[in-house]
Amino acid sequence: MSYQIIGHDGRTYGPATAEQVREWISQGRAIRQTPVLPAGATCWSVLGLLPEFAPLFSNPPPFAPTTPPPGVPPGVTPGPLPTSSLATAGLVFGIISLLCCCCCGGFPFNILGLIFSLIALVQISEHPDRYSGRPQAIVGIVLSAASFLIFLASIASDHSQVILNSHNF
Amino acid sequence: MFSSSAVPPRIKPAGLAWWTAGLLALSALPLAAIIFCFNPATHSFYPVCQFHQLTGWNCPSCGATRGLYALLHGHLLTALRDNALLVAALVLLPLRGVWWLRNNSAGAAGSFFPAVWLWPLLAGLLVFGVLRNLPAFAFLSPA
Repeated sequence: MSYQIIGHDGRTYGPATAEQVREWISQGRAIRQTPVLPAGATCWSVLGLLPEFAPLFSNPPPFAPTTPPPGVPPGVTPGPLPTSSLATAGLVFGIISLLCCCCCGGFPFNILGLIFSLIALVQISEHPDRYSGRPQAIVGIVLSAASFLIFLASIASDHSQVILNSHNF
Repeated sequence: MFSSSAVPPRIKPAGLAWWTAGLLALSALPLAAIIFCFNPATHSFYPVCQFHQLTGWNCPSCGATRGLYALLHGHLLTALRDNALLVAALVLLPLRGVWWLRNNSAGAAGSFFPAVWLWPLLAGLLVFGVLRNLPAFAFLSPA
């Protein structure tokens, strides 16, 4: 079996063996969306759609298909659902706001964490068949909210001129 | 069977990651210089930990600035005492950086910090944050 692919420069490469195409993928010369023409095929496809190369692209596609591909019985999802990027972002901002309570009360990060995690929760509950990541979103909300409460409390105590200890960093 | 000489070009130039790493390292220099010159224990322009001020407890990043100062002056033990996580991060991050850059130039695509690592990171931060406030683990808190 040999394959022709179209490289990033728009030129056609090959025919190449499957082994060589795998090497190109591992070297970052070909990606999921790279057009490919298997020998004997009548029309072009992309590498991510060929069963012999699809397992090499471990990351889930950015837009999961809303309907399962033909051959998969309805109700059976092929593989784990991709984690919502918003949920991951919410968790990241939550962790950053936890670390940054030391310098800035976690200020911009706890707001961002709250926004991202809340949108992620809505997104996940609206499309439970397309996204996972509810734990990430919930932990993101908890961390951001805790950090935001500390931030609010510190502002309040600054205003009431209660400075417990002025020599701590 | 196939013409072996023609190889499609790399989609992301391999050198890009090295430039990014270099720029990041350069941008950390002025910060390190400020901390090196002004002792955080005696200069008051450094930000104060809101959590510590409210509760009296140490948060996971409390002591990081003092630890950095100690480290820049070569006092490794003081730095470990101030914030052991900071020292661990400063050892692990460059190691991961080298590992990732080598993977990257070998073409293995992957993120610098995979999302699944967030859980152990969070667990580590919380455990460290709790432990350092217990009397038995007071050695994890700045003196």
